[in-house]
Amino acid sequence: MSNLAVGTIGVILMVLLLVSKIPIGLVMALVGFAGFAYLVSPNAALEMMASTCYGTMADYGLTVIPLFILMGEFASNSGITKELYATSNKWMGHIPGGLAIATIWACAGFAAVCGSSVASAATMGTVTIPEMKKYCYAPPLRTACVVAGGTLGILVPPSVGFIIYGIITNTSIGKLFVAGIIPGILLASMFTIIIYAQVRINPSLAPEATAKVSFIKKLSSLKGSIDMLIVFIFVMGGLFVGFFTPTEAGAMGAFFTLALSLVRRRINFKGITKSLFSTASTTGMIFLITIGAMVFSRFLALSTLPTEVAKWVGNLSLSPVIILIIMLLMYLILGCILDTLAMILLTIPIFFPVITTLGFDQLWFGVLVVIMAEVGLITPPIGMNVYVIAGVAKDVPLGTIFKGSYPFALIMLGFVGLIIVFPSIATFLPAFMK
Amino acid sequence: MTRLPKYERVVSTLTWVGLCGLIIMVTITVANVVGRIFGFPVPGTLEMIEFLGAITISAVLAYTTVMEGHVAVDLVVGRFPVKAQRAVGFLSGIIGSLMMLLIGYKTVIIGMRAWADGGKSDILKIPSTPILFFVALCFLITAMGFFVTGVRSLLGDDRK
Repeated sequence: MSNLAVGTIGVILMVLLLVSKIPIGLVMALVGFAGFAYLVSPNAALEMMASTCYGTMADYGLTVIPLFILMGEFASNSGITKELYATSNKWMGHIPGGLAIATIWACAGFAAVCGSSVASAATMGTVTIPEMKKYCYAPPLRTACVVAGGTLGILVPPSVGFIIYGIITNTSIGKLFVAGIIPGILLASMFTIIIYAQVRINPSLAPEATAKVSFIKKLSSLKGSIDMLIVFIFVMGGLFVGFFTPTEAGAMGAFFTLALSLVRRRINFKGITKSLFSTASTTGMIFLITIGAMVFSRFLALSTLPTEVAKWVGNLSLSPVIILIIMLLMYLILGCILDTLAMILLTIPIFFPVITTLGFDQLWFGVLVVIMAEVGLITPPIGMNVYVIAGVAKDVPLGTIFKGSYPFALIMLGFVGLIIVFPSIATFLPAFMK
Repeated sequence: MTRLPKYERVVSTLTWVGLCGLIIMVTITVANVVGRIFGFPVPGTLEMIEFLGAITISAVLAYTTVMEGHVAVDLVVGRFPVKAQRAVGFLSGIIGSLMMLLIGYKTVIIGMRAWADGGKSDILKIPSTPILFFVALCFLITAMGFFVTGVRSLLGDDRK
């Protein structure tokens, strides 16, 4: 059997095994190991797997992941979410659907210190959903706005999605982070518009808007959220001017978030311990998937499948944009069965050679991939953010949350189209970096 | 099953070791950045972070495993009868356990090879063998974690 055939069988086998409830990382490692063993030898495959495991864990670039997770956990356990929500509410509360809009911007604010969409949705959901329920926001809107707002977690830097993409494709993680800023703000703005439009069309979704807050009160409300703004500007500013590596930015971010929380007496020993153990759990989860994907991609590279796919696509008489759209649609399908990281880790080794062959910008493609992966977080049947929010809002059926999420998913797809037409949305800011 | 809490204590201790690694990682990196401003960067930061990364990440793998925190898709299996789901859960635990055992075993071999070759880091001359042995130990404990979760699944005693 040719290497290419073995690679193709490997991909099919892996997709089949993925739905078998075996952890995704193990499935990828198992298929990668078996394929490598078939193509070379079992001993070489074992050597490859063990050295890949150690190499992945001891990779300086990847150590950024636990550091940014720790930063997000410290922020989360210091009660910053309540402050962010209160601030957003002061600024947006007077608009129809104001609490839902405030939720979106509070999520965007929290995303600026947290790199995970699921963590953003879970953390913000516990604060915002009871408040919206108190003010009689309709169940689909009060849950779906958190589901959608949570997705900003991996678009607004820091982002685990960008880190993984950057490591696999050898793209600057700092530039990817900066590339996510404008799309993150624009997407949050589009979510705001869709909430406003929904409430205007169907006023039963939200109560009457609250009275307008004076500008002085709005300004003074920023006091509660200023810490996170300082940390964000410090971390991203350091990356932007090239003073920090991403790993250094993660460590400095974690250190300063903890220091500020301690100074403001927002976190105690229990909160610190909780942050550390949550970081341990999430880090273990991410790294098993990463290790599995690295082992699998070694096998894929040996099978020559990615390069053959790139050659084949390059010879197609289709326009590059059509090929790009087909690839992005693949994310929509894969999003039905896979989680975000697994999707990025699995597809990029195959898609990235195609993207470079077609001459597309890798930063721009990274932003598109991350947004498409986010769409998978809010669409059925896997929609991780929806499941997380269903756990928080136990009185709202899963189907209602999915139904409420559809307008946001459509907006995200429209936003992908906008970035395809105007790539500078993603590439404008990184162009100023060293 | 009565020995399970003892095993969980081992995992908890190991997790604390990993978390200490993480705290040291933050401390060294911050010290290096601050030191760099004043012209005194911490020498060998990069290799220390790499070693600490290996220690931290390998040490927390077992914790995620016993907490059943790994991502798995139960789209198809979730529709199976309960007994079949338990059997699949057990099989998954066994596969995970065997793979971790294999990786742990091979990491020991790589560590012994590094010892024979005198493998040390470039700047601080830190020998890689003890780190590799520690990582191998973590894989073996993670293998036990997968086995325990597999047995738990078979007995219908999942954490989730």
